[in-house]
Amino acid sequence: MALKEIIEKKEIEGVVEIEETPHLLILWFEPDKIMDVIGILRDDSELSFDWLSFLTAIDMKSHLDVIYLLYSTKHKHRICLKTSVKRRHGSIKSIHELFAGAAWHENEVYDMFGLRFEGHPYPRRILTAPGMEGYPLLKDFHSPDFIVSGGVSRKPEKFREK
Amino acid sequence: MIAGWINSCYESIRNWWVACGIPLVWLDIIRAILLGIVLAIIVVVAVLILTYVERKVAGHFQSRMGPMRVGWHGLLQPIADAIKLIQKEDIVPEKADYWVFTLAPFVVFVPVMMVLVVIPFGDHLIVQDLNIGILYIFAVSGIGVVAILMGGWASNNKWSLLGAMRSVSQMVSYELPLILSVLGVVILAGTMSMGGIVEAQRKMWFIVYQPLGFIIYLFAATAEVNRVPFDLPEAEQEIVAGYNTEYSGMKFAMFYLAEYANMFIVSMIGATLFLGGWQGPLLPSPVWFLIKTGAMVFILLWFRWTFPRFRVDQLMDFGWKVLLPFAFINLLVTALVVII
Amino acid sequence: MAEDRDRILKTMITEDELSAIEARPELKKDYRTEEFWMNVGPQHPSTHGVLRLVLKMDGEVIVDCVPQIGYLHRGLDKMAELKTYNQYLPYLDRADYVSAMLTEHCYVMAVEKLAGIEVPERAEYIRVIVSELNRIASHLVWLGVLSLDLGAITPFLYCFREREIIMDLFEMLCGQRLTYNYLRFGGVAFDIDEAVNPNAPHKFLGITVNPGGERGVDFTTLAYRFAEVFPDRVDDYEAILTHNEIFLERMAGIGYLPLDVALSYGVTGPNIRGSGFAYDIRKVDKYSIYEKVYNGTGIEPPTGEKGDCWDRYKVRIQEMRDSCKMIKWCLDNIPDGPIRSKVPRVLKVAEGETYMRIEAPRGEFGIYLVSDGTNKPYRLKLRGPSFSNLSVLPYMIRGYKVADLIAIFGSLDVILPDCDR
Repeated sequence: MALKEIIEKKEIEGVVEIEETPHLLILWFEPDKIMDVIGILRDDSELSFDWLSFLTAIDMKSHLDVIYLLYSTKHKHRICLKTSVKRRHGSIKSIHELFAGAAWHENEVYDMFGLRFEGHPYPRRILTAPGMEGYPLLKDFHSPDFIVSGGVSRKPEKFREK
Repeated sequence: MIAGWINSCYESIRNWWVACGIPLVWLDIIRAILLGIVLAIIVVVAVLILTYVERKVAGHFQSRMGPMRVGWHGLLQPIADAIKLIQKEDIVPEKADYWVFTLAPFVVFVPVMMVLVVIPFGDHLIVQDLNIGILYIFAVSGIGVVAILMGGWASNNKWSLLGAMRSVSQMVSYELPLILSVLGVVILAGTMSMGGIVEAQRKMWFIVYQPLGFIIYLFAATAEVNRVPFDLPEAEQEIVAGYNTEYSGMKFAMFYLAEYANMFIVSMIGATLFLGGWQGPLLPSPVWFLIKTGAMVFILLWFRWTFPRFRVDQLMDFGWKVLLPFAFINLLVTALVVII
Repeated sequence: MAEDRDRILKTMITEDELSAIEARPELKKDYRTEEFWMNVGPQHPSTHGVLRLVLKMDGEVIVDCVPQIGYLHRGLDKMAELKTYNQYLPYLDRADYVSAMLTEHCYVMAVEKLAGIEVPERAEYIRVIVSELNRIASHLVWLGVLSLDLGAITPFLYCFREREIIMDLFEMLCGQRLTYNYLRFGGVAFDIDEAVNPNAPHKFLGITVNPGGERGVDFTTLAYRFAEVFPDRVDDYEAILTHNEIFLERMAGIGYLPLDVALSYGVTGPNIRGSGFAYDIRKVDKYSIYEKVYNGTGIEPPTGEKGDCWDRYKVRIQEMRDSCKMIKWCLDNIPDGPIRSKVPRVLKVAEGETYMRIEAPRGEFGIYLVSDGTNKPYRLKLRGPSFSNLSVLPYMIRGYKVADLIAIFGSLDVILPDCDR
């Protein structure tokens, strides 16, 4: 039985749509139900998605798509979970209790997109310099001309407007 | 031969001095200063040669050439290094304890120079053959620990302090097996004088009677001079550079010099106690002494370029649970054999 | 060797202590002295790049650890959105510069999958050959640096001596020694038959080169000779490290990584195989021609038993030998034919998204690629294996000593540019 049908049969609460694209099976779900959806996907013996490859986000200009790529080392199948959240000041529940490795990936998404994760044990900007302003992977981000150490970004003297 | 010539020179100067009517104390002071200078030159030259030899040996162990650029086959490399170190800026960290920090590199040199006094470099070629030679050596060499602790503490750096603490614990725990292993030799020779011990080996080297003692001495001495596999106090991959993390320029060079000089000294002591000192056929006695010392140094180099490093607790285990009991057994057996 | 290890384990650690370590209890209150914080890095000799570990220490015992990363963050994800598909290829060499061929391999496969480009058989073979050569080079860096971290300096130079041969081979092939830019969409840049060098690295391989000959040694001969000779060299490393009591004591019985923890943290590669799970993406996903390679050579992914540093070490050593077999098999069976298929100069990729992953020397290197139908990726996410592998470090080192931190961190084989991207 194809993976799509197995998941459809389970009738997981919170799943909006299962979309079959040429390369990935995409499952859309409601952001509030994230813990239930991923919890069932992980613990169900027929699915047993025990592996989080990564989680990331995409800036769709009107909203953010949050993406979780799960893999089952037992059944060797893969699924791409997607959900949409607000682009500015959005938030979603942290899944570090289900996958301990998710904590760092969530830090990275917060760093790059400004998306907050509720219940995260140690929220921080993991990759960029302290004092960094803006979120680099948003499409409207313009890189500052110069970043001076200490995190204050400003133009040097000679480029400054008089 | 050399010793005889020096002694006759000294005798004639002394006679002339007495004839001039100047108190003999002044002559003794001048003699002491001259001897000090000579010993210092010996140390510096030995260390320069040793650094070159170490790099060359290491190079060939690692299927490369070692220093090749400065002079013929890199012979002038140590001098170039020395000049570079002298030229470096002398940095004292702002938060460091200035006087202790500055004094430490000099204190570390005190035991080095003092130990050299009782080493017989050749037939009668010894500055002062004390009748408690070995006791004197171990009494004096304890000062080195103080210097390292001074350096580590005064740097006001956590890495330095960790290194210094490791160093002190290591040196204190390895001093015991070291002394015990040497005691076997003392029992056999019946004297603590270095000259006397060499004399006692006229028929047979003590390494034949004391193989276990020699091995224990070798390990403990390696630990005592902080060489691989016991180089924890300056394990650069763990605690940066240990007690000399904050040192630079000439002060660093002093620590470096003392480290290599110590390596040379333990080799010389080992050669004297176990390998028959300066005795040997055909060649002049200082040459034999140098050959035996060189062999000991080579073993230390061999260790360094082959072994990984111990961990702190493993090091302590090895010292207290392996070396010390064996040293006691060695001492006991030696004593029993001598009595029977 | 197994008896040796069991003996050491028995002397070092009892069953009770083992379970105590796994349960990670806090240190006993009675013995606790004042704790202090210490920085390992960003400038420290053994952080393999620029990493800062903030350690909470109790004497020499580590109570807690917070890794601070990002010192090598260059925004490779963002760069992808600003460059065309072709332009982005050289940037990927900088993601994991110790195994650049493999990151390139992942990227070209992701784009080929999305754009529907066919790759000639010969090109696939060449890709596997260079990938496996690069895997050996990467493991050699790991082994050398690990032994250096443990204080043994000589094996480091032995490893780099052999790595030099691989670097020379790559230089013959594409002119670069570290950042190759060799793979292309739909094939590779140059054929291995064209790679000829009169000054070939014959000295350590025992090949006699005709000095008057017009053509020097070609790539195939040298690579084959290397694959033949290299297992003996691995024996040399084992002679100086594996059979060394001190090395054994430093590596065995520390840094346990239980399988469930490894899965939860997303640890991949030799690290998870060391924990006893034969999870090799080459074997699982069967990408490129790896199915044929595995069938042809009969290799099984090596696994460890207990998941300590020693197991991870043994797995990587075995992988080097296996890679040699693969290279030999590929060179024996490589077909003739074109090395590149026709690909338009300005590549426009159809709308869609895909995830492609490969088995890099450090684990699962993946690329999640979203295309909007233009000549630039809409979003490209690099999944660096080191990122996940490093995130498990705080779990692993609690209760161990600083010296163990170095051994454990070294055995994880983390490379920071891959982690920070």
